[in-house]
Amino acid sequence: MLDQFVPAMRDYLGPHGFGGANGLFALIQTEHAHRYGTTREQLGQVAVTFRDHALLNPNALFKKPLALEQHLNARPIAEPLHLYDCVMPCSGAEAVLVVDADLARSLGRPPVRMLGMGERHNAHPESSSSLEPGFDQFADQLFSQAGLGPDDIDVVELYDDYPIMVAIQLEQYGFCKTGESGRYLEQTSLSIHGDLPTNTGGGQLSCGQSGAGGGMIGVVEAIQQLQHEADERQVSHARRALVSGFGLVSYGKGLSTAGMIIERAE
Amino acid sequence: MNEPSNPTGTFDAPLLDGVTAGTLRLQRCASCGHIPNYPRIACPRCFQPLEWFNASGTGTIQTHSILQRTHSHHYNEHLPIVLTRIKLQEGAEMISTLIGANRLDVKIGARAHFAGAHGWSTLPQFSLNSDVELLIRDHRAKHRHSR
Repeated sequence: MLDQFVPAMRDYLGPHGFGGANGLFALIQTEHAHRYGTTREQLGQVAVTFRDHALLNPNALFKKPLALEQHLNARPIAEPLHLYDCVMPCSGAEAVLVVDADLARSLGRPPVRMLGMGERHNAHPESSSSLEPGFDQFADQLFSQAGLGPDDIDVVELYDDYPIMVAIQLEQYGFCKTGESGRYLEQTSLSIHGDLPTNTGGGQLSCGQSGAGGGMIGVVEAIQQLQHEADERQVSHARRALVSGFGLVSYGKGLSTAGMIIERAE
Repeated sequence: MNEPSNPTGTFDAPLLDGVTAGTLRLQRCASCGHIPNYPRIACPRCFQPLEWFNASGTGTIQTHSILQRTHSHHYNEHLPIVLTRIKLQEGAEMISTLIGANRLDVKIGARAHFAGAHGWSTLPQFSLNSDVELLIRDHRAKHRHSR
């Protein structure tokens, strides 16, 4: 599917047997590892933790636990990406109702409101790389619009087509400095009960990527968390969430980045 | 399933014809001098017309991946495919693949050389070998065929 997605990819990558998004994001991870020393073990934490969350999510397609050893030893696809680094396409759908806050309250559902949003498309027009995707061009404005900082966020839903993009988003939104996501992932638990609950439903990596609709999975999960309807996945006292989207992969890079901060209103 | 086609228009014919002829052709903006990373219908920087020119064929490996699986079975015979991004001498960042028995030795910072008509792709491919070695091989191959 991906090789017919955009003409640049179809015409100038397809005939190389480029391996689809797997090949392109392998290039990103190689570059990040070379520049900053990021290891497969560090990034493996992302896949493993998200799988833990997916085991608590009846809608997730992946139902078996994933240990770090298993992740590291899985067969290579596009090195350094191995099997469990690669998101699996699936069929699926997500939906959100946008309603008047009073209507929500009258239905017994706490309103979730948007405090800020930002987006940037084709952030670096002359680059063929997603090492700098563009979130950093709106992150400061996004947080200041919300009147918050990264420390104020209770739940994070990042676009997880690959663990390396999760790492890069953590850097770009300011949870850690550029290049330091490897060490950050070693020191920071992304678990529901950990330091920075991330992709609390398992993310696309463990639920599946419903094509171009994949990014909505984070929107729905974040809203369920803030409405305290996340059942066994519930992050206690979840009040504020950051949701991040990425994609429209073309010649070596995703063209689009977007993020929003939402809050449970009483 | 049919072999994937490369349904390009005519505007990028110089690139593809160049591969067959053993020449790496790139575009340059006649107005601002920008060299796009892949064939464009107009300069992506200033939207003025682009002109084709013969490029040096040399570049430096910026990143790489060794593919054990590819996106279409039509390329399986070429596995493992070495995917790279090359910063060409002229400045463009081209995503391409390496050919040659030593392609698995790819490293960031290594020099890459346009492989002329020796590749398996319709698009320009590169080699870690210098042009001289390829020329010698090509010369020998031509003389073998003429006997």
